[in-house]
Amino acid sequence: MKILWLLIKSLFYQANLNHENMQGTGFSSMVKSAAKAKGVDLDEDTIYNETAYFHTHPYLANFILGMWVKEYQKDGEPDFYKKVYSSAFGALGDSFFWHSLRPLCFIVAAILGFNSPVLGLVTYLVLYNMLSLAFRFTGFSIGYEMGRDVIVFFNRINFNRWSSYLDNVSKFMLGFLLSFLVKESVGFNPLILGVLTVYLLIGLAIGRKLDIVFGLVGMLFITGFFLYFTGV
Amino acid sequence: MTFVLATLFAGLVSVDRFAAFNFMLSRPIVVSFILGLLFGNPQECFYIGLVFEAVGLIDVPFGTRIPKEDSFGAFAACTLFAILPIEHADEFVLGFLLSILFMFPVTLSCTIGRTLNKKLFLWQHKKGKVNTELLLTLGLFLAFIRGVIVYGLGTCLIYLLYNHLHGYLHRHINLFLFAIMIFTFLSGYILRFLSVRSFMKYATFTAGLIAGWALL
Repeated sequence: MKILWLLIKSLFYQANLNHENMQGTGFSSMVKSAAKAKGVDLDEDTIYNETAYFHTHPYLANFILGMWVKEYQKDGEPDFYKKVYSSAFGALGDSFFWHSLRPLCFIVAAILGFNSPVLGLVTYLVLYNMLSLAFRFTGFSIGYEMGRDVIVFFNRINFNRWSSYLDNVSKFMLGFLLSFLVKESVGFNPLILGVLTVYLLIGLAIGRKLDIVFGLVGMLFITGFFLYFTGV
Repeated sequence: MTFVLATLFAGLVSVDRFAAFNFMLSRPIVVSFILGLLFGNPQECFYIGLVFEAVGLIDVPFGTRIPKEDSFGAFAACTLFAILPIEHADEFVLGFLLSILFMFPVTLSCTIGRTLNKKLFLWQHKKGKVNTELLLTLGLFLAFIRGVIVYGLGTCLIYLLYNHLHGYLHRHINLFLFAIMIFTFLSGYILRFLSVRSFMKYATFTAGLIAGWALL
């Protein structure tokens, strides 16, 4: 029951996110509950010290929490490994969840949600949260079991390769989505298809050179004028 | 009732994005699916969601950086397209531009939120004992209120501005003035982006302004 409460608590641990200690407040709060769940007594100073700067990927924070409790019990170096793993897991989580999983979920949801918004909505939320919650809910026990060797778990499942696998699937699905949308919305119109090809090429050309918002603003104008003058 | 639900949803979006859960309720495509169902125009909202989701996918919150408020963009644009008869190209451009423009101040409100959190933390820190539960509860509350107020107010302002500018459009005063205003705003970002020493940057810019006004 205490573990379940801890997992629920981990959903809220970012609430005091700030530039002074980032997620430190939340981590300190979780440490208190995690130690209690494992029958460890923490003094006030230790809990206070854990409010220091801490920032990692939110879905992987529980791995660090489990590792911290284990290291503390063993009189190891919990704070040293906390620092090491917070940056490592930050990078791992960002590249998988933010960079790769979100696009894939979006594309799949967009394809399914075109005709049925409810299906699209459910697909996105289930597909994404199935993975994110799995990591969140198993993180503490794996971190506690493996202690400072918790990184071995990520190596074992080849986690750093997952992003590239997903990106490959996303690339294919994006092409699929584009064709699907054009076919469903416009049909075969040589002028539009030509223009869309040019748009895609422009996007590819300036993609890494111009901030997307600026690019978007520019293209809104161009598109507006194009539609206005051609009357398409 | 629909608007009350939409406003409450805005609070939830802000919490999901900023303070807790991270269930991706704040993704533009999810926001647009939900608002589409709420307002009864799922098709329009779907297309709006596509555009803002694309913005959000590129603008990733790596590390400590705050990404642009794509959730607000989708929220405001979906609401606008639901309550106004937007049917022509110039209206599309205007609706999207206003939503994009307002993403910037709304993003700034995230920074203000983090600053408030910092102040609360330092206030506790000074006392030598940090009440983490209190700080987390306040953080949640702040995030929810930010969503309700900032999203609601932002959308109302966009609505008012849209109607105002749209009136001008009907009088054949084109979008150019509006475009220049947007460009002026964005010039500030370009100035920040250019890696020249501060003094030189502003001096050169001012000289350019004067020269442009005097010569052309």
